[in-house]
Amino acid sequence: MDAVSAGAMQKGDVLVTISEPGCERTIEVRSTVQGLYGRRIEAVCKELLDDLHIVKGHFEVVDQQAFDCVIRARLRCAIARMGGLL
Amino acid sequence: MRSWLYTPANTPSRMINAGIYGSDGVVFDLEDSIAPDQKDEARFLLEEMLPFIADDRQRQGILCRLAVRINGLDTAWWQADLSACLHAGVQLVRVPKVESQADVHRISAYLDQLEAELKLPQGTTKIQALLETPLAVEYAFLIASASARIVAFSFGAEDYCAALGLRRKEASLALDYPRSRIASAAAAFGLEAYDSVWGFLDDQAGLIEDAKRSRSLGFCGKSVIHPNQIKAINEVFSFSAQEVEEAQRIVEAVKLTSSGVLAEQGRMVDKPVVLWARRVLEGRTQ
Repeated sequence: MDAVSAGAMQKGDVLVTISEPGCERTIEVRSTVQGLYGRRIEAVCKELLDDLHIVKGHFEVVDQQAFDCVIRARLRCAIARMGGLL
Repeated sequence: MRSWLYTPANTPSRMINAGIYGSDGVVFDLEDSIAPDQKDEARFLLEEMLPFIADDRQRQGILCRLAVRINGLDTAWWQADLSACLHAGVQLVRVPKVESQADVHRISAYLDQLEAELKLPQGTTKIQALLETPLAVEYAFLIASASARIVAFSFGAEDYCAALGLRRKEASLALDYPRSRIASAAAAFGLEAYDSVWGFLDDQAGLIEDAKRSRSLGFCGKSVIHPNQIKAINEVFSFSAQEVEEAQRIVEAVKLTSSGVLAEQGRMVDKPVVLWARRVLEGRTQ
């Protein structure tokens, strides 16, 4: 599987794309509020991935000022769409 | 409950704001407004967002009930939908196209299983059954009797009209029968009955006329598809100042007499009238 996505590029939402499932885990965050919340968004992603014991894959997170719960939902959905094969 | 606002369950900004428009309830929709390839996204979103939304409303003091419309039993999605609902803490689900007691038993059995798995008290999750077909209308009484989980009926006029080959706007007479039957069956079991949505967003006069008709046939509220419809619906399904005043007069008059029947401003007041007056003062339209 190449890449899977979940979410949308709409205000209040976030688009999560997972690629390179065999590679070491990386998290790339881009946000309209990068300066204020970029590190926070990355921490939310990292916490969830750690909880799910996911250590592989490239996670691109394009944020449009989403709440933490939305980020978690989109990330969980993308992982499920990847079949958890990470 | 006078008004239920439908909101697609895959749009975070709309979900978070859905409670601020003044509807008595919000129905997050997993059915018609969610494309088949987005059902999974919506379920994850519900699971993560609903606890957040519930906390947010509590903080802001917004009194608005939450329900989720799942996909119908004729789809491959309804079980996953129910599972997501219960994981999200949802206690009220709206089930489309319920047509028989067997349908209710099937949903109830799966809810029993989920509640046991999640260690929730049995029967916690309640059902609003959406009756949308002639068969469902005919079986309304039996559907109402099928499970203690059923707390309300909701009427789906669009599908009902389609089954009869009618256009919704030209079917007001044809809708009297199913509405009466649904409202009566609901009342027989102490359930609430909510009328169908009015899909013509630019026709406010039609909305009000439609709502008044359904209230006169025994419905206590209506589903809406746009915030602009809420104010009118809440007004139609509320008691007027004159009704409240009349109810107060009746209740006061009854306190002053030991007779079972009395006259109040030229009207005979007996037990059913007193019952009506008490319901008005309790704010119950059904």
